Amino acid sequence: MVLVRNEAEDDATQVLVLAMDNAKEFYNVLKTLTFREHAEFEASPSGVKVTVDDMKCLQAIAYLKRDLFSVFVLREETVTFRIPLGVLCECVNLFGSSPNSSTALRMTYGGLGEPLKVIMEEGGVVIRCSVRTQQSDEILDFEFDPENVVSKIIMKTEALWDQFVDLDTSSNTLAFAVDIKPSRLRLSTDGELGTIDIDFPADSEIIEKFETKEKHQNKYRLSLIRRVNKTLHLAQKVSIRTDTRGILSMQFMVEQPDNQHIFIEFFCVPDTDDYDP
Amino acid sequence: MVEAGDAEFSPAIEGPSSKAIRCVLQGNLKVFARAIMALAKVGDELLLEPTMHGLTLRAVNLSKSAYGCYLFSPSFFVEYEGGCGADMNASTADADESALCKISMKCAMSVFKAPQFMEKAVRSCLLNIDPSSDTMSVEMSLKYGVVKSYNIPFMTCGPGLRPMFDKSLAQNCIIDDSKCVLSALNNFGASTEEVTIGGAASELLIRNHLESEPDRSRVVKTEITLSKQDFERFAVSVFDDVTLCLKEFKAILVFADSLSMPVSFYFDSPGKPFMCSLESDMTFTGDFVIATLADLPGRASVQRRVAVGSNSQASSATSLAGGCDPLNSSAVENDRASSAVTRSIAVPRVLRSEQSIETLLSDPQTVSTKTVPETLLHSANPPVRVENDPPPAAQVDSLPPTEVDDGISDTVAGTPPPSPPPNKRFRSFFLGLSQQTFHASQIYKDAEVLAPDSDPEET
Repeated sequence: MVLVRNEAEDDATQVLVLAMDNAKEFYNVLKTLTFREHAEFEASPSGVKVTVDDMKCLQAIAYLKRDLFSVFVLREETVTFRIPLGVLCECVNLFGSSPNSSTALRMTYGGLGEPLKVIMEEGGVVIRCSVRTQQSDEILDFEFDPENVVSKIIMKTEALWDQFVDLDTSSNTLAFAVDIKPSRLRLSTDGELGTIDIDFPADSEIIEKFETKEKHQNKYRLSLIRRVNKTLHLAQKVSIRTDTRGILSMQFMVEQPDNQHIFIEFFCVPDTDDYDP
Repeated sequence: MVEAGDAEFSPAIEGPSSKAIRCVLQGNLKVFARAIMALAKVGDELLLEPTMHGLTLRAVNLSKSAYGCYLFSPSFFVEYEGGCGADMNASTADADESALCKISMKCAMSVFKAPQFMEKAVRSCLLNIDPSSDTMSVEMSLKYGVVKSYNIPFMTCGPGLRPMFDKSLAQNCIIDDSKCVLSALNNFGASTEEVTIGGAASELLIRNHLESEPDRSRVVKTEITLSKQDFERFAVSVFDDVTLCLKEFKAILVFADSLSMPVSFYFDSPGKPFMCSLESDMTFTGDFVIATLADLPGRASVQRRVAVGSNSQASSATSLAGGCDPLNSSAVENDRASSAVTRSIAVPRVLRSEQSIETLLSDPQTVSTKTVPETLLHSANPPVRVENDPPPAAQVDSLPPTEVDDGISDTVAGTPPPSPPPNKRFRSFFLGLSQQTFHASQIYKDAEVLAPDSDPEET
């Protein structure tokens, strides 16, 4: 923690100063979102949001609460910038990820046009990185309203791991169907391997909550849905909600040591490519 | 779960036809999955035949030189119902009568993948196979009550292929607990495509076959001798070398090894099929039939004994003298071998008598042309074993094509030297007929000749 004290004098000029005792979780979370080159970084009094948009059809947002940071200084109401996520991830992982070591991380941002300075320290070795930022793009708001939710299913991600990895990639879409009789969530693909249905009955021990107003089915493009795979493996629980427009929300909860949680949320618009004459 | 046939044309009966079976797998699921993995090494399509006697899975490779078959009796399954009593041995040309159906091997592998994973994750597996339907369904009950259902489309299935092989006719029989031969095979390089297996009175020799190698002097030659004691049963009376494709051979050994089952090998002389059987389990049997390289006329006796005189490719291979003593003699063997060979020469006229009849063991392109003219054969002095010029392992069988072609290009049916691709492809269409594994009904006896052969050289 020597490095924190030395950098203190520069702080006054920085609009954002963040520090974490262990960069590993930060890295793990960011790594799951590297399916696109850029991410929008937004810091507000409640914490940090990292958003990745995929062709305006899929959006992933990682929420890092203020409490996760050992130092959280914000000198403006909100600070936003666009940053190449892959590059940031590489920087944060420069010390590698051995389980015993812990890497101290400190990030500072001087304002529009300034790079994000990343300082890492482990075992007395200090690495300083500077990542160029861009002006932030407007983030599309999917307007997912919890009041308009048709179904909500909370389940452990464990059951989904193997299934998502095995999904038939020759299928264009993955259908999410929530049925009432029998009460279950059904994931379906239709491709070269035939039709494959995976049923999760509501009374299964891995489903913690199963609520639905009505029976419904929506299809989503499989290539987009597969973006959640890495997050699925990192998280312990997921809440799957569908709203009246068919937009899917998958909220993943990643447990942290000391009872903290990081949430990563995915929104996906339904696939409307099938033309039914 | 089982889809009925086309509802518009059949009487309004829902439900499976009389040919359908419904069976449940539990503990044996991994055996089933491994069987499919072994068949996947043979062919790209999986043929299923459900009958009341059990479920048969088959695969054949493209060149029809390897065939794998598993028969799972009803006792292999936890539940087994349905199926008609189709005669398992008849080759049925009438698709309506047969219970044959076919799915792509890719589909089969994607459903029954990773046997170790299946063992842990899958509680039970329900199969519904109705040959008269468009799809078959596989329902897997996984952990936590999750159910995964596959509806696999059937491919159009032609008339059944039944290879005619009879294990009781094979002269040699060896029973191995599979670890022995498999661990021997693991010594061969990864690029080895074919191996030659030679039975002797008290041992088995396995070496890699080098015919298809373009540059033989650069290839590592491996030879392994397995003693009689390593086998459960060792009854070898025909001391010939047979050459077969490694991939399919290894597939069944790997399967047997995973279940610690013994494998029985039934083989004979070159050209006759090499059969591997799994006979020890009560609930299922497995048979793999692999075609072996047929011999050149009159040359059979030359194997492993003669250094072909004009072979200038000297190598530093050690002499095979050590293991070959018992084979040196008997004219009886020569006659056997040559008679076996002459039988296999009785083939469509398109093949010239000087040319060798080869089994296509792998991709047609990799099989080299062994064109040995009569003249050079006579000078080779059959039963004599020339010790002072030890042949490089597995090279005795032929002359390098280049040498041959230079001398006798006029006798070879107008093909460019040395191993011409067009010739090989030509053979690939017709050579299948030379195998004794073929049923007569496969040959087009009454095919109409639309254009007579205009090549004056053809007899």
